Amino acid sequence: MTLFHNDGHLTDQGLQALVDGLLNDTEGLEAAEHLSFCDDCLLRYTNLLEGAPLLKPETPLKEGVHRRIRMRGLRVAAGRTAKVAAAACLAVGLWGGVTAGATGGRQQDAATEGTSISYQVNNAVNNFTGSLDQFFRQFTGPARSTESKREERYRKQKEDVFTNTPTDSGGKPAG
Amino acid sequence: MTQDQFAGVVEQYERLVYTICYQFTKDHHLAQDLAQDTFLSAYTHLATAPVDNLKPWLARIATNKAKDHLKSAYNRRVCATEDSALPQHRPTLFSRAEQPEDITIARDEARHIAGEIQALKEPYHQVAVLFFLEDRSVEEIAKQLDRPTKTVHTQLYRAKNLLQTKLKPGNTPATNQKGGRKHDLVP
Repeated sequence: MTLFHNDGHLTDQGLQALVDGLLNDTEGLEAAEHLSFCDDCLLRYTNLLEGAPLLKPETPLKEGVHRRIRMRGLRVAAGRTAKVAAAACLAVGLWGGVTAGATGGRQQDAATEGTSISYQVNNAVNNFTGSLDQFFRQFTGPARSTESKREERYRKQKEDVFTNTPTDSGGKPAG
Repeated sequence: MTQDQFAGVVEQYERLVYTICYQFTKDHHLAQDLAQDTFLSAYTHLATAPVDNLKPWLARIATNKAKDHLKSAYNRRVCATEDSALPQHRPTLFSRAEQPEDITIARDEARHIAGEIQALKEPYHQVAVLFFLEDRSVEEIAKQLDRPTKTVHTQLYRAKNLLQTKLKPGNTPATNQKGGRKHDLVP
């Protein structure tokens, strides 16, 4: 059986063998590669399929396709949220560096300066994880395990440590 | 196109797409998987879909999905050789002629190699002739044969593997004449 003409196109014999399932793996790959860029042979192939009995999938494809579309939507949204949060962290980190530099002349020990920037970065990260958690909760259902409720209480306690700590106008913990 | 309209497209063309995937893979589960992937891909590219001629468009996506699957299976099957890249330097056919006898042997080997290249079947024949015998670049070959550059690369890689198998030591005239000695005319 000759799969290709000398000009590189698929023969009628080759296309019929494809429709009849008679090509081996390598021949199938070669045929698929050709059909991926040759419009003429693709048209001949689809015309040949019109006269052939088409197979019915074991289960209708609609449900599976919709499930994949939903999952893809979740992945895309999560990816975008992560990018926004990363940009926010970077911006906060840079802003912290700028404000630390703007107060220049004041004597600051290294520990206080580091706490200021790390406090703001920490705050931004906690806000990000909180909003991401909230986002996923919409899709994973209202039921939450005891463990996740404990984690949420812990996270809120951690947030309270920072939000309730008295700060000066520069956003740094006072004292 | 709305979600409901797309659901209608899935129902209308699921047999066609599934049949194409099955004809390439000959496995119902794989065909089901690839068919779903096909419609997912179609959904994400709806903006470029020819809405009045969806059939060949969907057929192409399905064929590409099957191709990708078969290609990864092929690559797993075929062991990559150390020299799997295309040769950067194509040595001249008479690079190590030391004595008149060597020249004769080199010519015989060159003729044998050229003959093996000419004997390759499509889709490898034209790309191999143009690359190995006419010294054309991949881009020139792709343009002349109206094939994607990536496809030409793939076909040259497989052509090289086929030639290496045919030109193994013991299969060339030189090794038949002079126990084991060979010239590296083809990488």
